[in-house]
Amino acid sequence: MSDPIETSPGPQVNLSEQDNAALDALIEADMQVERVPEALRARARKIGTLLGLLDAGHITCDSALVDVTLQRIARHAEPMLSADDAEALDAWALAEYNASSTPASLRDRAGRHQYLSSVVTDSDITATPLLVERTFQAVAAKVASNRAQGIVIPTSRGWRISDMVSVAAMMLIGVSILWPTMSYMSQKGRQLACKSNMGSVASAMGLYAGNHRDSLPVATAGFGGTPWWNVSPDKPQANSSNLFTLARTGYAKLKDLACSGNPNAEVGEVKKGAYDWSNLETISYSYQIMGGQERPSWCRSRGAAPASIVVLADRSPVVLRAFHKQSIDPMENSPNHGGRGQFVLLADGSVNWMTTPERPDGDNIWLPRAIEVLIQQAAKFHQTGKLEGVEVPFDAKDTFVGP
Amino acid sequence: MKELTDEKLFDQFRRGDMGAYRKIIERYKDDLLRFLFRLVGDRTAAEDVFQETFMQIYQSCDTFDIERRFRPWLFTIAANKGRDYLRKKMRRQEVDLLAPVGGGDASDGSGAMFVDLLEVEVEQPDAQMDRSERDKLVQQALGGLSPTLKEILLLAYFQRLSYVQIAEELSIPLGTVKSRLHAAVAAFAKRWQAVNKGHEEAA
Repeated sequence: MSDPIETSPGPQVNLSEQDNAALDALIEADMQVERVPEALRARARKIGTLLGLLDAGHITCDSALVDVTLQRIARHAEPMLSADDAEALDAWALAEYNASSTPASLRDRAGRHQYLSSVVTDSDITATPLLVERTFQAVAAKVASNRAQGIVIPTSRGWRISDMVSVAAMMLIGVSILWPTMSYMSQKGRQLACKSNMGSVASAMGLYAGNHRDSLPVATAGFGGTPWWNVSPDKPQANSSNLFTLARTGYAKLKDLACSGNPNAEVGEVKKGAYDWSNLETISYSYQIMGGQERPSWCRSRGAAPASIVVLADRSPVVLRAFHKQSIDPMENSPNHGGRGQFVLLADGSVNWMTTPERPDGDNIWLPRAIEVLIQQAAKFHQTGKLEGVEVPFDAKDTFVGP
Repeated sequence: MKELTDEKLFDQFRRGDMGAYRKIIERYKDDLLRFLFRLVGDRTAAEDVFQETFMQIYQSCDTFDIERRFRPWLFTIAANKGRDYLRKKMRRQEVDLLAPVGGGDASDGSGAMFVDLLEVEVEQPDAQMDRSERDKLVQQALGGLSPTLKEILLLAYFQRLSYVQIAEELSIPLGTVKSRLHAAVAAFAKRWQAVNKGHEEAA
């Protein structure tokens, strides 16, 4: 028996022009017939009645159905990043996975991505010499076996002596012409790498501060009466161990705290149980001395210190000389960049290049205010002042970095 | 003395210098083993895949273009080998390979669709936590990810390649890289939060 209800679309049926106008007016009037112009109201009322047939208001949705639906969605839903996190991830990848190079508005979240990745990549897992040996021997055996069977891996065409001589001559000419440019580029490259390091340290400090009530990294605030430049990997006693906390607790890597301008910098993994660098010479950056009565905090603090305080600088030449009992020059620039200047990290996370160690307000970053005043009074700006490694900043606004 | 680049070392090996190959293995041993350990989930398997990777590197060495970077090539081969291993393992466990790609685990009961990293505790649960304990938690969190998500997450995290480079290495469209990596990070962040919470409650 055929279905009595017509299901095929049939010929197209159109509303009359007046009905179309009434329908439009009704929709525009938010389905309220009273608001439809009088001329169209009668037609609009009929249309409204007709549409009312479609209303299924008597059918209500059981709240249990809502719950079950939501549960099913939750069970099958893949977690998704929030829009802000997704944007930060893209920006972080675009910035070559360096959170400090992402736009300021995304930096916090990019820092979170960076830390999350370090959770995955940082590990104590190391390949044993046995594994390396086994791997090497397996390949060496395969190479030998292939050679015995006459199987040779194709390589590029061999070089003749004449080729090499021509290329060597060309390279010599090229290098002599390009040498000044290459040297400049190399300096620039080192500076960029250093700036990038400072950016990484800024991210690490931001994360550390976020988890430690806006505090800057601290391992020891009391130096036990010994100079804060007495660096010892076995115990936290020097000011550098405060900075080392970032590496020790996994917020930063040693290589982020190593400037290529320091030939003795340590770049490997943090040694187990180490609280500080091996010695003074291996330290690349000088950190705000944390032994004063007032210590600066990270910029988002409710604040003891202004955001413009310097918290980290390329290593101090003054501390190096004072440590070796040589006379100091307060205006000397860091040796990290050949004496041309130094990068400094401010408490607001920004990185600046300074061509002298003196800040616009006259604060010398290598010295505490007390010595600066003494030097000014003695009117002997150069080769005066004595630093013994026990001085502390005058207050939270006095930049004084070391060792 | 300045060290030779990976590409130059590899070229020396192709010319017959086995010492250069040993240097390459030494140079990448820890990074690669960590990558593989995270990918396949256990050390013994990671060591097997490590050896297979270097064997494959040798067998494919004529296909390496010296103008390109060696490291991404090595990690891509390692990822392929790791994927093969996981596929075999899954087959053994009779897991449906056609299961949808994704985090696929809502066992933490949070049911949250959106992950907000500012609300996720991404710090290690205990700063003094033993590294091996932390490794276990990371593996546990990664274990909840599908192989596809795990692979792209680890390639991005370990190799730090741009989206375009990842697309080239995995031969997938750029849009897929983006959406897949977003999903992978979200899934990992959610799982990491869950395992941390579990660890704290157990402590």
